[in-house]
Amino acid sequence: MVCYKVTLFENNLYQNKFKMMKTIEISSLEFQWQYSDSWRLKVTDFKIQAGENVFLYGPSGSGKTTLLDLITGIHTQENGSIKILEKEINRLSAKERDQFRADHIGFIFQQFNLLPYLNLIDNVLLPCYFSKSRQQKSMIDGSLKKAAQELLSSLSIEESLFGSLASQISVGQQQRVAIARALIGKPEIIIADEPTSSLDKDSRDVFIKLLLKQVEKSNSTVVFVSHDTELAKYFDKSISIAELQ
Amino acid sequence: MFYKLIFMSLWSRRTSIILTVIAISLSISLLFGVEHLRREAKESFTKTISGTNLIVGARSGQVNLLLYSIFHIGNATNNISWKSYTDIILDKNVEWSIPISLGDSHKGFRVMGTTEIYFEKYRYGNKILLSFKQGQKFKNVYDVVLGSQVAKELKYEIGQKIVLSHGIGKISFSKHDDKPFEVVGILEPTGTPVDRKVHISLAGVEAIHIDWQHGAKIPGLEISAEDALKHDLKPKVITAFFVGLKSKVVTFSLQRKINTYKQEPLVAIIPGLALVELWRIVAFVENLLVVISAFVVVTGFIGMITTLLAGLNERRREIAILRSIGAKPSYIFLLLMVESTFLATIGCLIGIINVALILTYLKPLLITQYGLFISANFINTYMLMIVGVIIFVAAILGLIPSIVAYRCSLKDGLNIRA
Repeated sequence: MVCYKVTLFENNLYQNKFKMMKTIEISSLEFQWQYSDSWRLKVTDFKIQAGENVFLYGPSGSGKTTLLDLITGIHTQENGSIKILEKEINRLSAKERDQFRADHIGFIFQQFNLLPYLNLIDNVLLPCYFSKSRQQKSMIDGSLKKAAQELLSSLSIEESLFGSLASQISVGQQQRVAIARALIGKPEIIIADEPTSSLDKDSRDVFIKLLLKQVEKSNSTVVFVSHDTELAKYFDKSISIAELQ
Repeated sequence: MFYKLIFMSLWSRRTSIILTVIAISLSISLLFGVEHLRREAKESFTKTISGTNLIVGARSGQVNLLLYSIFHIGNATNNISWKSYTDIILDKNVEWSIPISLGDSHKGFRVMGTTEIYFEKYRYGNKILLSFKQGQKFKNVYDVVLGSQVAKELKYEIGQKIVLSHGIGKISFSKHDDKPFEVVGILEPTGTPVDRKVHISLAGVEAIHIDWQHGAKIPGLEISAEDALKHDLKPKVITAFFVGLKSKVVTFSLQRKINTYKQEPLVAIIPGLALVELWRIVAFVENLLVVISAFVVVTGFIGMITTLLAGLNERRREIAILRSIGAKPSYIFLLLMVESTFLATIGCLIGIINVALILTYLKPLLITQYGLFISANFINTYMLMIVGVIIFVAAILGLIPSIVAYRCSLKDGLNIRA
């Protein structure tokens, strides 16, 4: 816990330094699925500063995943603006949005994060294949493999497992490998969509601590989405999706 | 990484993928096997005889005459008297003629009695004459010239003494063992039924049958090989004869003349036309086989698409992961496209290898059982074209799972639908 306070303190310092930089900025957003009249997502004002770790919660069906799809540029809105790293993501072409996502966003899913037929190292290195900039940023002594190994070790994955297939390790280990994959090449934004829902309480706490520690190391910003409000205590800021409307 | 993703993904689904590839390769084998056999059989048939204008035999169907005189399949209905033969070849248009006499065999190979002219005038393929690998034409009554396959299979060499059997069964109980023959020549391989013939002179045929009557030895009458030579060995009957004309123009008029020959019921056939008729008989079955195998190929590919589509539901996770790290929908599309094309190509390759192996092993059997000379080399531009078309069609069919995956990748986005 002491250690955690220090982390918060350092985070604040970092925020002061980059106070002007907005990582995510959403205003008067309205989104509706094409074939559904009843449901719509509205976000009047939502800002995340660089280095700020945000906990976003709300019951299922409240539009968390839709919001993430909009932030990551999978879908685009008709009204309002979404700026990611000061870039109007809506204005980019589909191809540019995919590349933007590859370069700047790391993603952690609820489960099944890894390609079961690749080994851990290959899974971690996948994003480097789609993003030149992340490839260059992650290189350690000219070796990508070394970077992946270091990252995995820091997430307490035993070295003996590096070469095993993703399908052969436990769910808890899989989620930690997912952190490594999201963080490789230090993307500015990490989006975690219910990453702890398949974990028990103990591994959940270990997971979050490891995640935040690594995020801090790579100067990234986390948007952590969950329905479990108990987790809010770990984050700088917690927002209910209902508040955004 | 692109190919690594494909291969590792395929490898992780290997059971269903291997079965799919096997199904494709079997269907391709069937198609190519049938197609090759069809072409080769036709080729083999048509190249069996050339330069001969007419084949004359006792009256029967033209296909029957063609089959027994050239391919040694089936038997003659009747013989031709030597007198009729000499009478017909007196025609001023006849340039040469080869009389043949069938009915005996040696260890399953048919014996053909003929004259020396056979080695000078009989042509096959692209008007190629027979040539000797070893030795020469028969000179004496008890001389024998072997087709290349006969010598090869029985491991005979020049100087070997052999005994001919009466009748054409592989196992014969009535042997002409009192009059052994000596191998004096072995022919070069021709790729025609000639390779499986045992050639002796017409006098030789007479000599071994001198103490025989109605297909059996006359009891009590034993004429030794030497004594036989003292008899008149001029043939009394022959089975058929080949005719070469001075000019092709007269083929039809001579054919008509032979067909209406008063003294004996004969039939003259034009080998080329008889071959066409023969092929017309088998063409229906042949086309049917090709159509069936084409359908089997289509079934094989539909199986492949079904497997890929069935697997796709599970792979939606995989697609969402790839999308989350920045893979474009087009990348997902291409991934699936390359996968199906790759499977089709591998299936084709294995199918082709199968056919090559099967042909190599089947070749001797086809020769011995059916007299079909099938080359094991079935790769030609036509086949390559078919391969191209098949892979193209597979790629087109591969569009189905690719489009489904593309749509999923757009619709699901980063939602993992487990």
